[in-house]
Amino acid sequence: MASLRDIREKIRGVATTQQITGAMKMMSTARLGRAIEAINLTKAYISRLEHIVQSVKRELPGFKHPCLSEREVKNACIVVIGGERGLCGGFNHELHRFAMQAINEHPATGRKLAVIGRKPVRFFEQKGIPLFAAWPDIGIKSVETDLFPISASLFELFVSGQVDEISVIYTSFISATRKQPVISRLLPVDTGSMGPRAENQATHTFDFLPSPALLFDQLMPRYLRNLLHRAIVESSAAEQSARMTAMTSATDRAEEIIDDLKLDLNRSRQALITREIAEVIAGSQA
Amino acid sequence: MKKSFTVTLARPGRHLISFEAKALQLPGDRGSLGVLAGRQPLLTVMEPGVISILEITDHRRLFATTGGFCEMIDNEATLLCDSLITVEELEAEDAAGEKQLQQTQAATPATKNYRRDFTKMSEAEKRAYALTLLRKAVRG
Repeated sequence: MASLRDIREKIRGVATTQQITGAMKMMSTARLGRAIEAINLTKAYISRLEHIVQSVKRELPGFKHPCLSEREVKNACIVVIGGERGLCGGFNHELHRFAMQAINEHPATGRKLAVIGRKPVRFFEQKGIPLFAAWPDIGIKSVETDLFPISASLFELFVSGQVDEISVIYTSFISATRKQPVISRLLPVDTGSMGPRAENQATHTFDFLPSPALLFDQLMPRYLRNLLHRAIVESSAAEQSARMTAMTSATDRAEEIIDDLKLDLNRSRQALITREIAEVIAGSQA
Repeated sequence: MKKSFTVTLARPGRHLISFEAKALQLPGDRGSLGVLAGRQPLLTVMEPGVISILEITDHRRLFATTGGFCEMIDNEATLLCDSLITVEELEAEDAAGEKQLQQTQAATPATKNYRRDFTKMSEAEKRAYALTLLRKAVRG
């Protein structure tokens, strides 16, 4: 049986771990709240960008733009957005497994893999899979500025014809308890998936400044950037949610371990006392 | 005829800001563009510069933007800005912005028609340019 000192040290060690997991749980909860707010705000902005796309499409039914027209997909760029850190249960593992499966099943013959996030970058490097581009240090705080060069390079890849499709794989945040890895197409834009405009659907005669084609040339990089932004904040929310769940379990488990160790401690102490009493009695009888 | 219209400013990841306005002035792709209530539907690109909103209370609000879009429809103007800097935020941006602008002006000369070529500017340069214009507008 372990000595009383050993058990007390173990209890202290577990209690320290419990404090850390408890603090991480609280931090994840706060970050999750901020991330959920960011998702809602980003969605609102994207829906307004989609309104503009719909306005142009409604006003000019025959309007064509390279970003709106379907192409035969020979080459594709797949962007994988993953976690920044560990200690979040199966979050990273599930995403990596889904990404590997989605990449292998993708119909394109030429696949360029671009990765955002420290964990997936390390995963693909360990697997020996060549990356077209890797951005391991994109944080949610600096995402707005960090995304400019990323979206610009991806957009250039599409408009120059080097790839016929850009897709993104990330963990979609459904609720605090539900998250799911998904693959979705960014370019060409699927206007059918855009929600309908809430207001009056009557046709207006718009003044376009500049022409609709030039306007779309400027609109599409922004649309791509904001779709990536949404995927990053959703992934971040899912990661925080997974970490919150993992840390809650860890904190609860630490509590159980402490209770068990306290029981052991009391048992050991009682055994020691009993032994000492027995020794005293044996000594007095002798 | 309506005398005022709603102006909504949106930027990625931030809350919307709305005003009831008499007039709006924004940096269009062919120079400064004025918008009044009851205007014909408009869809335009915004370039780096200053957005000026004359509220119904005659209070003028100024913002700097690095670009975006403006949609005016059904007497409601929605400005989708890449970034938005208020006059209050201006002070915090000061020294670095001025220095960057000087570098920008040296690196990207104005085109033949004396308009700046924003396509060659980085986001930081656009921001510095817009901030300088906002500073000038605030000083009047």
